[in-house]
Amino acid sequence: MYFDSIAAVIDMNGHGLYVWLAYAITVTLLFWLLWAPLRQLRVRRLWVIAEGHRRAVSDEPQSESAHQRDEADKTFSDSSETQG
Amino acid sequence: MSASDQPSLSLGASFFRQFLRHGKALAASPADLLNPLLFFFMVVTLFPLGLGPDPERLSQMAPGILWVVALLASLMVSGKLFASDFEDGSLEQLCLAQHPLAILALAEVLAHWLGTGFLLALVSPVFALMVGLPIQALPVLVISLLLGSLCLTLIGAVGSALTVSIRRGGLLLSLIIIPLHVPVLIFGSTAVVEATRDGNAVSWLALLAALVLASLALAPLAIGAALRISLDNG
Amino acid sequence: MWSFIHKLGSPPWFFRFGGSLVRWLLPLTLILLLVGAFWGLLVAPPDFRQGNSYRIIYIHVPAAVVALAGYYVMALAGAISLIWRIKMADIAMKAAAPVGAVLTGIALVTGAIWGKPTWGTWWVWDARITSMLILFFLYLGVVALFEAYENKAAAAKACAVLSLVGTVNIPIIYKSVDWWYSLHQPASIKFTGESAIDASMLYPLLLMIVAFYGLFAVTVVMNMRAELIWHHRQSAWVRQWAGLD
Repeated sequence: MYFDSIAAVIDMNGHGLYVWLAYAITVTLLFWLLWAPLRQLRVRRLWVIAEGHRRAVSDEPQSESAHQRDEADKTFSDSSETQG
Repeated sequence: MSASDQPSLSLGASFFRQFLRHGKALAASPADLLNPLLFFFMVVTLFPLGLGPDPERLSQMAPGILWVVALLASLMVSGKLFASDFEDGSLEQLCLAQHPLAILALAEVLAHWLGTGFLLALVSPVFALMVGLPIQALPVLVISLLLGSLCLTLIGAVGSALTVSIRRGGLLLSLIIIPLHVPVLIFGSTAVVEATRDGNAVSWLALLAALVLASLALAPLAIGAALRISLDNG
Repeated sequence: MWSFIHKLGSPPWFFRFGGSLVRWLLPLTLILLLVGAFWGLLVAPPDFRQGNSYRIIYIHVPAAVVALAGYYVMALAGAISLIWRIKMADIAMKAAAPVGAVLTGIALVTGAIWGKPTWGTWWVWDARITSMLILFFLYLGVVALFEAYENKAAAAKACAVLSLVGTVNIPIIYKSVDWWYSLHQPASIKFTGESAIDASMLYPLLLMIVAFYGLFAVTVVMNMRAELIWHHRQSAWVRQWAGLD
């Protein structure tokens, strides 16, 4: 261990601001890199589940309207992809 | 259609035909030939207005100014390279031709260069005098722009081929092409700087020439692939 | 061996394989990052010229190294997708581009912050930082080109061509910027000559480089998994994964 006190670690002989700023920005960006795909995966899983339920409900009455519903969902999903 | 009309057209002949076709289209619209020169003229005028009229400082910055403006002029016109071919469907015909798309596209790029970069390099001494480039550096400026603009046009053609199917692809074209132009700018402007100091300009021109050869060999392949991809997208 | 490569191209298999890869590689990478940062920030001795500000090297250099390697990885994936038309390579390329761009951004920002105590200004047109900036533009170009295409299959191919062109150019760019810098180098700013780095400073640096490579791999695989789910959202295995059926 090079430093002998917490205060010395924070100050780093006057360079503390630069060093800690650089590390803070890096940690933030790396955290975002890891968090973004996890969130995306969760959101998409919910979408797949919701889609499955919609399909199960609309399958019951008549197959004709269910088919139309499917088409509408496809266009919806395409537009949501460009937004997200 | 054209393939069945002239089944025995050799590679050289169809290369030449493609070259003439694009050259004639350029010659038919003098505005397309004059616009880059006018752009060059006007942007060069902006520099003394922005930097102040001090002749010494201007002549010190002249190599950089001239080269950056030449790069921008080339960037501005390279977006148009394949645009009309893409819109009127002749690009699809080119893809179906019996000869490699890369070679035929190269013919268009060369014709385009003759109408833009080549002319610009020939006229550049006039603008060089406006910003006070020392007279002894003029030959090197012209040679560096001749070589460099060919290289810029070839690289720009790759970008143009990649973005031709995208509406309003102009800004995107700059974004993907400018980083690739960096070595050309460095070699070209350094050659001119060396010439103003009576230094070793020849080795920088040789590097530029090497870049030209490398891009002549490789860029057509990328252009051909990119044009096919753009047709898939459009 | 061949069956393994063959399996890599199968979406459900890759999704499961990637999941188990992330499960052990992610904790390992995080531990390496923590150990490396602790070592570099608190244990290693200060540089005799730059004092403690040099400790930024432990994130700046790994980010720069992996960002450059990441471009080659992306271009390699692009080449595979162009030559063998493997869909998985498209997805890998699309997944790598934003990660590389962020890493390049980290290298640039930390370089600027490091420049302030070292050179007295936030930005100096130093050869390495200039090359990094151009690499950043190259990454942004690939990301922007992908977003601009409407047909995503064509977008992946266009990005593959662009990243291959970029790969041919990168050595030329680096070399030209190097020459450009050595010609114009102002005498007052003479930064890091080729001085040998002491082992007590080198080991944490190597550790951090390994950790950043691990991080790159983990994030790319995670992005690929998220992308695979969306591509195959209508297929049975995705519905099964989501807990339906």
